[in-house]
Amino acid sequence: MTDVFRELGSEVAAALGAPNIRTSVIPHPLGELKREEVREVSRKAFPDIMRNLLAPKAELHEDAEESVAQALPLSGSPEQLNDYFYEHGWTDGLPIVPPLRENVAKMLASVAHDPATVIGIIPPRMGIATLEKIAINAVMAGCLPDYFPIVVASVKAICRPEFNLLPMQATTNPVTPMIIVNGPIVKRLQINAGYNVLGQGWRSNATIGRALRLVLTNIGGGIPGKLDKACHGQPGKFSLCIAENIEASPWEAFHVEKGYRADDSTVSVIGVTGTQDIIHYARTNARKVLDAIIRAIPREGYKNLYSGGEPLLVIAPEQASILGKEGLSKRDVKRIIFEGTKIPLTLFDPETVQLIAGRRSRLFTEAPDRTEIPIADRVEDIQVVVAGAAGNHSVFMPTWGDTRCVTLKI
Amino acid sequence: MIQEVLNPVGKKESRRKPDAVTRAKSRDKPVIGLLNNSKPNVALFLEAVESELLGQGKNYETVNVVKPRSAGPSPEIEFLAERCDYVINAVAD
Repeated sequence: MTDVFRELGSEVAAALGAPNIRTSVIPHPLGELKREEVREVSRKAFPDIMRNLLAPKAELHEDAEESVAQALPLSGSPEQLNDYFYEHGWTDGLPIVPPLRENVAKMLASVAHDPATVIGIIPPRMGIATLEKIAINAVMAGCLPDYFPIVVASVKAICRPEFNLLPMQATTNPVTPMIIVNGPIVKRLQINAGYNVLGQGWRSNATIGRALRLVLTNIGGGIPGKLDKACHGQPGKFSLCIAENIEASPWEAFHVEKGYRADDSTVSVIGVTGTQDIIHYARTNARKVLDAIIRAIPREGYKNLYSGGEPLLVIAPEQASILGKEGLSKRDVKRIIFEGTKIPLTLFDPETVQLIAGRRSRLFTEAPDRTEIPIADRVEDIQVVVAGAAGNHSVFMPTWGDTRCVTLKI
Repeated sequence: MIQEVLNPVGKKESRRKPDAVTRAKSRDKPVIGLLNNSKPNVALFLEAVESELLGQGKNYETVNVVKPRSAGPSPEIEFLAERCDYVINAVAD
């Protein structure tokens, strides 16, 4: 492995039950070296690889149980407690609400289950997310107890295998789970679906998304530079939670598309890598709106192109209304975008085409002689949510190709 | 008033340690798996390793496996475990 991933590799191997795995380390990066340079690195590393490969098997030893005492030996002002949490790497850099036992108890009272109930295992550290540990992080994030069932459902959703959380937590990609809330709970808890929906200003959105990030950091060990290897990250890694603006949508709700009833309250988690605003001035008809969206989607450099997955469009009500008024269904919109954003393979060098063919093998099995690739493997893989308020905008959110959106009932 | 502040860090899941793997299966020619994570240049790196393994009268057999996606486990892990005495897992970026 390359040197920058050594700590991550050892930690994950230990968490998966192989603490004594042997590693040979070469300088990072490998991917940018020329052919002869790769051979030279390999030649130099070979003796060490063989030494590690053939060495007698080391004795397995049990990990010493780390200290996770429930109560910390702390007293002091909120500022002092904040300093202590920050110094231990338990925050997102912003001040937290100190998780006092009484506040955690109030959070737990909003769900009628044993606090020791295990909701999931959070990689790469493979930390056990009990209801109590999730509640501690939700208090730290500033959640109201009413929000807690949404946080719990979100944790459950990111632990589903198809979400693929382990590599998501460790990748150099900026991906982060975004939470989309649907159903009656949106109004009841005043979760923002309108103005500045992807931004600041709403306690529910801000703290629910933040609670999930703190769970990923503190239970999962996703500390930047250590086990979270994101090259840049993105602002959404602080918090990213929206509701669908279903009242302003001409289409069926996002969760209904996923098989739930309109009156079910659900969370969906989707691994997004960023936001790109799409503004369109000549918004006179559906074709013009869709052309603007199609032309705004990049032709190279985002993960969906290389790995498939489920790219997301957050369409604002004004643009959705134009599309709906002309009788376009959500499926029609997806199909037009799918067809319109296909990219000629001649744009890529042969090595990249080979990489894409390996990762998106379904496309190349169906059509081995294909000359272009779409942004998703199937029309239905393109995800569409209506959110935002007045204004002539939509947002394209590429997703990390190696993950699938998960929707669960709250 | 004493305040009890709770620790936000979860306990680690206690994983069953894998069964001890019998080292080289006493074959005439030990089999070494080369697992490529499909990142750029990894194939080239392993090709050079393989060339060293098979060169100069060394008595090894090699098996090459490419992960279709770097972000996830290899679907051929059982095959590698069954077929190989040793596996070199290249996880470079």
